[in-house]
Amino acid sequence: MSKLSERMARVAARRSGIPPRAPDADAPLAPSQERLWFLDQAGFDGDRYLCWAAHELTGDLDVPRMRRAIDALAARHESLRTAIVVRDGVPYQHVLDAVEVPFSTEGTIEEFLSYGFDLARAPMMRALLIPHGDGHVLAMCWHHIVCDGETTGILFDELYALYRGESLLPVQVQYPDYAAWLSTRDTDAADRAFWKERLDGVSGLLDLPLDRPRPARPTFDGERRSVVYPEGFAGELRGWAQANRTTVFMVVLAALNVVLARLADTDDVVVGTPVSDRELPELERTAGMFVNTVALRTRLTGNPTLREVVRLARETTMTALDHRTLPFDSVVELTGGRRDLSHNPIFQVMLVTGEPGGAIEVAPGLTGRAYLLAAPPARFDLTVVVEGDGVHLDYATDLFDAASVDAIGHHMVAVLRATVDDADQGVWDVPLQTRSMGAVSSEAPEWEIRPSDEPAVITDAETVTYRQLLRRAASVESSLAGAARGSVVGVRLPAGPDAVAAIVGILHAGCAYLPLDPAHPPERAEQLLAAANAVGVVDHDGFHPRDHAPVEPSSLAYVIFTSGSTGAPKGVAVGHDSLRRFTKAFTDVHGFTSADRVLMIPPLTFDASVGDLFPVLSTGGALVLHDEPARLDADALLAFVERHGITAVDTAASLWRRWADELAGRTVDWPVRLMMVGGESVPASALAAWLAATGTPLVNHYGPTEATVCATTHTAVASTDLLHLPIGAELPHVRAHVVDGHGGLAPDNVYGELHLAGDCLAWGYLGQPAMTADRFVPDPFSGAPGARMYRTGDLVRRRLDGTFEFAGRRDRQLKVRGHRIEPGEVEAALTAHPGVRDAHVTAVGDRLVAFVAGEPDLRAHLRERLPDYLVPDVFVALETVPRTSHGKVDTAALPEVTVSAPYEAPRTPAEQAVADVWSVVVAGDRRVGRRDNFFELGGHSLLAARVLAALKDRLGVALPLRALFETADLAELAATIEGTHAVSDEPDLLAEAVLPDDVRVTVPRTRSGITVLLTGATGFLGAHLAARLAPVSELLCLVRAGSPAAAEARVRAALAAQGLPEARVVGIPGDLGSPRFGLSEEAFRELADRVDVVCHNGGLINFAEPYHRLKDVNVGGTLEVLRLAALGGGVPVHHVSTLGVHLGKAYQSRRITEADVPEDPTGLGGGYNQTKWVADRLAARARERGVPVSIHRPARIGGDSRTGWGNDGDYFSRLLATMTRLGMAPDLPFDEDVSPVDHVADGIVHHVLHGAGEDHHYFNEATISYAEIAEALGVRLVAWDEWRAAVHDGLPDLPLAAFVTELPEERPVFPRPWFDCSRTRRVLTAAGITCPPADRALIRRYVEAMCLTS
Amino acid sequence: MTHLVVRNDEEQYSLWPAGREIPDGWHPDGFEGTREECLAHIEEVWTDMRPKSARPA
Repeated sequence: MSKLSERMARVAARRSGIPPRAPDADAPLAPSQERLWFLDQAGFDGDRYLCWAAHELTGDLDVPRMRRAIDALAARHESLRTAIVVRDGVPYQHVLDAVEVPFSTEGTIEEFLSYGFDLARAPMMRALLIPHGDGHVLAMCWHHIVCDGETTGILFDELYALYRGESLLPVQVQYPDYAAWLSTRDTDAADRAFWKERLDGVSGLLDLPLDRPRPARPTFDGERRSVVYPEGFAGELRGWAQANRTTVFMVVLAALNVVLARLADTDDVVVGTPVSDRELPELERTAGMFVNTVALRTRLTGNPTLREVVRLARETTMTALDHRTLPFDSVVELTGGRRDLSHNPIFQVMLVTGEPGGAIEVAPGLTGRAYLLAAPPARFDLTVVVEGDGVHLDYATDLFDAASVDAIGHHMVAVLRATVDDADQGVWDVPLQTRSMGAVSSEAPEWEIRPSDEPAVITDAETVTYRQLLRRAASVESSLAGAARGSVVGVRLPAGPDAVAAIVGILHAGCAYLPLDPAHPPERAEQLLAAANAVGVVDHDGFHPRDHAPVEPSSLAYVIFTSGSTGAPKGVAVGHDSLRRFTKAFTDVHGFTSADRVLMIPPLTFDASVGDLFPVLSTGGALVLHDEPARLDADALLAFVERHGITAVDTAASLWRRWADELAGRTVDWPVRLMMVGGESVPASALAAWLAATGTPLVNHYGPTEATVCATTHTAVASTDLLHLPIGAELPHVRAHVVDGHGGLAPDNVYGELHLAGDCLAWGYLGQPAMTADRFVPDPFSGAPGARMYRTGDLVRRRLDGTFEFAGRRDRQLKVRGHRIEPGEVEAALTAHPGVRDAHVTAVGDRLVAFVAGEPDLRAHLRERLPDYLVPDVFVALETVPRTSHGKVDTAALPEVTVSAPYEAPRTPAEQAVADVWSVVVAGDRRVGRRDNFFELGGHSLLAARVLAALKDRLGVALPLRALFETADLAELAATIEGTHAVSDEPDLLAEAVLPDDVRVTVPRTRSGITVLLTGATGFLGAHLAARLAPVSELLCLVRAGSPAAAEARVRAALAAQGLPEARVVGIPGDLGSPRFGLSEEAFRELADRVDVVCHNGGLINFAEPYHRLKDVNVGGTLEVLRLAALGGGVPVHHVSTLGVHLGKAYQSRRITEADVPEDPTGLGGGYNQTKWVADRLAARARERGVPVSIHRPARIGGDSRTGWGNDGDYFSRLLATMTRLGMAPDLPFDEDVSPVDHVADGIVHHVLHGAGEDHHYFNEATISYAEIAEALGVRLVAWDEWRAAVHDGLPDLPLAAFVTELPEERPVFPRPWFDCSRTRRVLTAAGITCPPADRALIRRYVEAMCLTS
Repeated sequence: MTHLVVRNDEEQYSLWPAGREIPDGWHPDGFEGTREECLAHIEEVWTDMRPKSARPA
């Protein structure tokens, strides 16, 4: 390993010394810690990432002294006093000055290790010292975020030194200093480039054969199996490694790669291994988390030799070590794509080197020895620990059984053995079979049908005895006299005694039968007869000969047509040999006797019927037939069984499933001893209900027609957690080979294509030699010379118990985003849902698509049952899944699906909020749509934390980190957010302030003019605006009225009320609180086209109403204005807002200028200010969408500075009136501001006519104190208490009563911001518009005007 | 990938990847080519689908 240390040193040399950080400063997390913190935050049991070790101590132990030593240890190392604190979603290391390490002298090791740590609390360390045997066990446990394996060793060393009373050298570099130093270093672009290239195209999931489906959420439960090398082999292995200038680690890595490649049937294997980043000398004694993980990817393309794989292992490891400093999380990020919580990203198998054991001298008279602890949590599917004399295999019990892990261990030893023995053999040639193949039983007797008076065929209409059957058969036989042996004869009869007799007669005549569906048109029947060169056909009227080519005599028994995947029917020709052997095997395996009455559901045209006909007739039992088997529901079945004493039923899996569902929860007592199903994969979900209801074993038949009816059988007597019923083991005359992608036999447990051989094969396809030669291929495995095997096209694996598990059609296997997907698995999970009648799953492009008859969107249902990659991206709801007459999905009849995932604009406020946050945080301000996935946009774990912090900030919803993983796209996350909304009376202003996506300028306007639309013209400020705008424009006034004339009248009245001159306006009757102002779509569009500028001043001014009462007009009205402006191609909008939007907590006592955006509504009270805030934000957002929006934010608007006329109804007017009435004014510690309406109106109109796109503030900085107000009004200035008492006494008759019901006890303060409106002032001054001061003269003028008007 | 056309003693035809050891009891019939070429050849030469043992003696 000298080369290795050289490399390490080279990396180290690139680094300089590590300075201590500022005293008491928190440190950032090191990248390796960030990952652990993230796992904790995400709720992946991150608190349980523990490091621990335990020693058995024998001898004299001073417990208090040990305890002091432990505390001294924590005092030495900052990492042992570190807590993780979070600020703004960013975690930091915070070091406490002193901690007391939890120290327990009671309990068990198991308890001690059974719980995690709270990352926010220091110390993340605890100790246990309990009596054990003659001595004690000392265990220490840390969270991995402050510790690693090496640290564990260091800490035990130091602990014992402290216990001995030795003084230790100070720690050179504390871990937080290292982390702080690390964060200042540049990320290494070369490392990124390396890993990106190295892991390019990696599938991310090693498709190991599992014993159980991978759960969507791993439990991390783990167990350990150990493999000890055979006697002497450890030495041989070391010797081989030395002779080949490598290490045992590399040879084991190579062997692991080979085994994994073989097990997953892939030539692309990735294994992880931990590396420590502690090589700087000053870090030698630093306690902390220094471990990173590197991915070792090995390509085994083209059957390389074992020697070559060892070389590859070494090279892969060395180059990976060169680039080991890039945190694994960053590497994951580089590979992109969706995250999947069901497995570790990039690799699922870890290879580590075991720790050396041995005795330790703790102190004089006290010795220690490593105490072995339970298997660690299974953070990976499999962790291989390399020891001197073997390997440990720590595995996830979610996935594997011990026996399968043992098999992996044996395979490893086999490959290591093969490496040592002959390293020049190809990796795919190393035999990994454990099963020896026996010869098939050879002879089987000819079956015969014996005459008797027992029933042979029973229907509701008649019962035919064996004698009667044979008599009818004899007449058919005689009509065939002279036909050559092996001549094909069609049978075109419904299943019944006549059909059975015809078949028997044909076979007795030495001919072969060809079943035809009597429901099919004659042309179709003739087509099949011609294809089989049939000599004739038997129907109700007897035998009809037909023209045919000369027949070569043979021992052909029957021809059954199956529909191929291409659609062209293939005539499968089966000889008597195969039929004889099958009949014998099937009879034996089911124990058929003359006492059996077997209900045959499959039609004669399916070869499953062969499995009923000959085994039953040859043993003297009765065949029971039903006219319309498809109509048999459970109750009809029960009655039919009862009526005919049926002992066995043979049916299709789908019909059985229906019965199982219908019988669920009932108790059935019946004579049926066998329920046989076949023809398709059997969902295991209904099995438990079936067994509970009937107790009748379910026998699963598997076999293609080409291997004569049935090749394997499985009898289920107990329910199973598998998705599909296993297909069981071969019948005695059948040989079954599982063939891997390289044409060799796959090891047990490994998926491969099932090839059937032995004495079960058909001749082939009639008249189709090429197709026959293609599917029936030489069998190199069974050892019988010249033997053939049939490629079934089915993927299976052989379990260690010798039974096969069916995994779907090979050609239906899908690859979606690198994952191998068996659609049947998804379909089974879908159909397990009671709301689903049928399902079909396929891939379209890079998306998995589910066609579902029944409930349309089952993401949540599936996510509980399947790994994320098996959860379809697209669900298509159908009434029924179209199927052909053979029950196969008619893919041509499925609706077309476009899954290019076109951009879908966010629809709901929550979606918009998520889109905004993602766009900023992860997408570089790119457009983000409903179907976008966080990780595909480039999101990663730390950004995830930031996104959730931003969402919390914006929407007030705290989501767990894993929400980002568990949701497939933005829309789903938003739905989660909406689902978690706390019910509250307080509006969620941030969520309210989301501009719908349709408000967007798509076609920019080209015209300009002077048509102004004014809203709120009948209001106080509105009247002043109307009075100024009307003379210089075509002024349209949106007014609630029944007609344009009425609208105009209302505006005139408003102007008159304010003493304003008459103005010519155009009345637009409409309502701000209604969609499109209550206009028709056409009228709204016309208005949008007509208007050149909008002055939006309308709204409800009411300080008492809650948000929702004001929302429709104040928020909805603004939205409609913006919509109109967007529709018009970006009509400039002047939105009259209020400076009240800045009264939130964030702006208190701050200087606020026009440039300060009121983004934070926290603490903003009152429905009015809240609605105005939301409207203000919507307007601002419309500006980003292409609408030129100017926002005018007045503060308090007072009466006309020249006339004194004001809005008598407003708060300030009523306050002045109340003061006058009471003859007193409260002594309040703040000034009041008043901007005269004429000034504000002048300012707004100036901008409406000349400017666009800015924010303008109208706060009259020349404010007036309460003392000045009192003086102006000539009233007494009184203390708050007196004022309050007077107001309370006078209510409800005082003018203020409309605004106040109760005054606070405490003298109010008004922590408003300092509004610096100099920019607005400057612009207006330049235009000759100046604001008069709010002085005593103005107040007096107001009060005088009030007196005049009242 | 090149294949060979092979035949067994039942006079059944099939194909086998060239360069791999031919299983016992199978004999090359002399034709080799792509998979498609081999299958086309078999379509020509395999005229009697009856296994030899299924023909009357």
